[in-house]
Amino acid sequence: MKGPASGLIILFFFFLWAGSVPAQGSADLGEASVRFRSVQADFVQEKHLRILARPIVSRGRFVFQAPGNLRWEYQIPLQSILLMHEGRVRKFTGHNGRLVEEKGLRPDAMQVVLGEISNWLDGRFSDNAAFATEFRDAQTIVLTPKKEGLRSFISSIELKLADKAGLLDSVTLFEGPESYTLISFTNRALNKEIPATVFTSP
Amino acid sequence: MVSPPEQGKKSLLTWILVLAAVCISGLHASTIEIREDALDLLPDSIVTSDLELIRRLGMINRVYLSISIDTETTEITDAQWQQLRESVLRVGTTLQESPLFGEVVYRLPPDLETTLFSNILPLLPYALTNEDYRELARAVTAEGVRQRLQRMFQLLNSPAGIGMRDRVVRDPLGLSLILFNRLKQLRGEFAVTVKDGVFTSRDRTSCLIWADALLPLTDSNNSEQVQAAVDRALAVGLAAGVSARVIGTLPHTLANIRTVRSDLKVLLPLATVLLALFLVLACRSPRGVLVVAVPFLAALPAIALQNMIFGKVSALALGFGIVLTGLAVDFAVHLFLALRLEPGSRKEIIRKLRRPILLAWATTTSVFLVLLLSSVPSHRQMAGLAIAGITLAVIISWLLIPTITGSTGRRPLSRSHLPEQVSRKTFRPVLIWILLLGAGMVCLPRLEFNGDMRVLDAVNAEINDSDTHFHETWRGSIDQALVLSRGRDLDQALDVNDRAYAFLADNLSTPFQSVAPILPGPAVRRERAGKWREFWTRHRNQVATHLDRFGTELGFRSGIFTPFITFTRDTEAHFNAEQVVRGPLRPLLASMVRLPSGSGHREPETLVMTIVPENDTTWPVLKELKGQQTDNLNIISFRSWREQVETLLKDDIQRLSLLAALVVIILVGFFFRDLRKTAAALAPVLAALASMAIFSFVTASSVNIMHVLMSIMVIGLSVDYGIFSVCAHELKTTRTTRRAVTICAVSSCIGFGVLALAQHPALFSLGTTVLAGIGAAWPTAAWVTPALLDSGTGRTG
Repeated sequence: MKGPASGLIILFFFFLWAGSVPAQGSADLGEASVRFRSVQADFVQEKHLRILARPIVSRGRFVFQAPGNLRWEYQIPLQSILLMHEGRVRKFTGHNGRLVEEKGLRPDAMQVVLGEISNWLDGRFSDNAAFATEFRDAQTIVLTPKKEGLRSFISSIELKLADKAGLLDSVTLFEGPESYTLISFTNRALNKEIPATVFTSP
Repeated sequence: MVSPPEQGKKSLLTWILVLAAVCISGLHASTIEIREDALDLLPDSIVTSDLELIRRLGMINRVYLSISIDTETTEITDAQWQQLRESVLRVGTTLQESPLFGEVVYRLPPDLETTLFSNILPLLPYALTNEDYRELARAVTAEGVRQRLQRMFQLLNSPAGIGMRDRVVRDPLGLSLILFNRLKQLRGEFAVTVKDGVFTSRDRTSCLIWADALLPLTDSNNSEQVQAAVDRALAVGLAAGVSARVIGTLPHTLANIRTVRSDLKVLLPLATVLLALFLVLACRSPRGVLVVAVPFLAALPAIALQNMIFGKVSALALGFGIVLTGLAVDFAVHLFLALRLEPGSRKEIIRKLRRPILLAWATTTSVFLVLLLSSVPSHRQMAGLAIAGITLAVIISWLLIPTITGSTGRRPLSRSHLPEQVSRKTFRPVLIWILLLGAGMVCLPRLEFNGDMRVLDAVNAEINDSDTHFHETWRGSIDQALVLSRGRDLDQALDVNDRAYAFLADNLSTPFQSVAPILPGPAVRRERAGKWREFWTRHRNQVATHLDRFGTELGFRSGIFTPFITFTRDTEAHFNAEQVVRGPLRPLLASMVRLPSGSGHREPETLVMTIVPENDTTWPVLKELKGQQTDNLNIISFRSWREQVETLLKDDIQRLSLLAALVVIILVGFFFRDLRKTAAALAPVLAALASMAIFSFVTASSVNIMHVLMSIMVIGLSVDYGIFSVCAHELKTTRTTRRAVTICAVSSCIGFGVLALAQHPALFSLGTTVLAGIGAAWPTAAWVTPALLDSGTGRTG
């Protein structure tokens, strides 16, 4: 179960980052995060893993609203939706053209391993205990896990910033040698009003 | 004839010898072990079984902390949650660092996320049930493998899939979900969920910490130490806006001891001053105070005797035993007043008093001899102390009181000091007495014995609030029964637990919590390992083929699922249950599995607990389970346990009361050999019993254990009043005796009666019982007993 938890952690992390990080350097992230309310974008995800014969390329859209509402939807090649609302996580997968909820992945089963998730939800990364932050250049930030446990499956995260302040071009999560996930964003929008149903029903 | 100087020397020598004996016995008494153990207050049959187990589970010495965010709303913000969580971590860490605590459970291990899958996957072959195999049979078909692999692929490709490589390779069919679902049942005895690694309530406004104190919390000194450690941890750990409630034995012990201290701080000086003033005035001499003090010299020798015989005593028994020694004050007062006021030589007076004092001593000690048959250890200890104390007090009084009386006899009371003549009012006191008995007989059958020790618990509003919060937040409204499986080692206990689980699963319709589904015993493990081998021998090759085919179609490399195939073959894997219990799942298992600590018990024993909601439908099933498996299995129902304690105490009290009444009646009858005199001597006892019954009925409609214990003392005092009154009537020393009885009764009423002002319910019960009982026994002995005797002889005073 380490995977699901870790994955969610990483995503929450960069959703917040996407809304809160300024384009340049190490300005006050906490102050920036106050202005952030929501972010949504289309994404293309390329997954490169040694266990795969070829990279998996997926497309979809995510919607995130502070403090903890998320809709992460894959449209291609297989449809699935992850919803998180008021701390409740639900996952739906497509079966024969219909979306079916995955009971086995409900939070009750996952909560045992959803250990540190809220640490990531505060949007303040410069004093985050889990990652060391390095501003490699004006548009690249590299996060490195401080804890051995987290490092065993995430070696680093690279964030590419867009020209517009507060938005990301791409996120690359390095899981190990020859294993990484690259997520590129397009059609991004900040601070739009989002109805609650987006996070509650598929 | 002894000359006054010789008499003085003799008196001095007597005092020196007695005080020397008291000092020597004091040295021996100081080595006695004083126990503050709640188990001493309960019947033997309870103690030897259930409560001892509860104690060994750590429940008695466990401190629960419910840490809450101070908010009026039902939802909390992320910032508030962070404050709460950080407070929990700081408090938990500080408690863990304290040498006063053993296990402190406040969070899941920090690295659980990365180790849990690897740790629990090896348990899979031993956890699968027949029902799981039916599901597994569907999973290993071509369609089953395809669907499950596709789901795994989706998971891998989703945000939840980062870091999933190992899991996909080792468990492509997602079989470990069976184990994760079972983990949900391992929430110990509480309704907790886990968030950010800490244990939280459903609304997330509260978090739970529990810590096992290494010192018994039924002891007040230990409790003070542990409370200080808890206070330090809270001072260090709690953020602003976060508060804590302490629940468990600790606040109750402290509230009781603090209430008693606060009561005694005011009431003890008050009683002492009032008593001293009264005795000085009543005896018309400062020596009156000495008369009361002399019998209490017997306390130290009595404790020394207890030490020689038993070596230990419960604090409650010690306190009460010494108080009961005070019954001998009556003898001293009678002796003192007779020697000072009755005509005749000292020898004559002492000779006259020998019979009533011997009879009063015999009846009083016989009551306590009966109490020696009690099934409650502290009652037996109390009785032992009282018998030794009263006997020694009588001997010491007999030796010392004559030395402090000054000039003896020859100074009859003036008329102005005498009570009114009995003759004119013979009818009225007897009538009142009969009415009192009638009312008592009406009330007595309506009284219920309340054996629930909680009625004597000095709980304040804060404790009540904390207990209610704890119950509502962490336990819901369901009563719980515990099924305890015992064994020499963990494997043996798990075997017993498996049998209990199988029975409960077959017979209960309500869910219950057990470690059996994830941590079976060796017998079940052997059986399941065999089933695992058999299943995979049949299906391994086909599953390998399906995995390779559908995996390749989805985009996986060929052959990457070999680790899973190897896992299905590795049936000889070693399963070490103790390692599992001590591993990352420890916080979840800690409250349900108790491994031997290696000290404290002669025979180390492992306990495994199953928690069953207790209601009218589950209890018969539990009773049936108990009937089927008596070895190494205990079922503790707190509800029925309370009922059992109440029943046992009630039976004990009824049996002993009847026996004591019989013994007193026989003894008094034997001594007087006259029905009228016997009835007259017992009249104060009947009046006391009636009065106490009326009082209890009017105030509470029930009697508690404190009422009963104090009733024994009141009966002991009342029968003495009756005996002295009858003997005085025989010897025509009624006036002196009446005065002595009055002094004794008023002294008792002052000494114990002030406790009616106490805040502590036990002290309050004690005070009111004595007031009600002695308040009726005294006038009965003074006026009704002589009237009853006179009415038979036609005497008019």
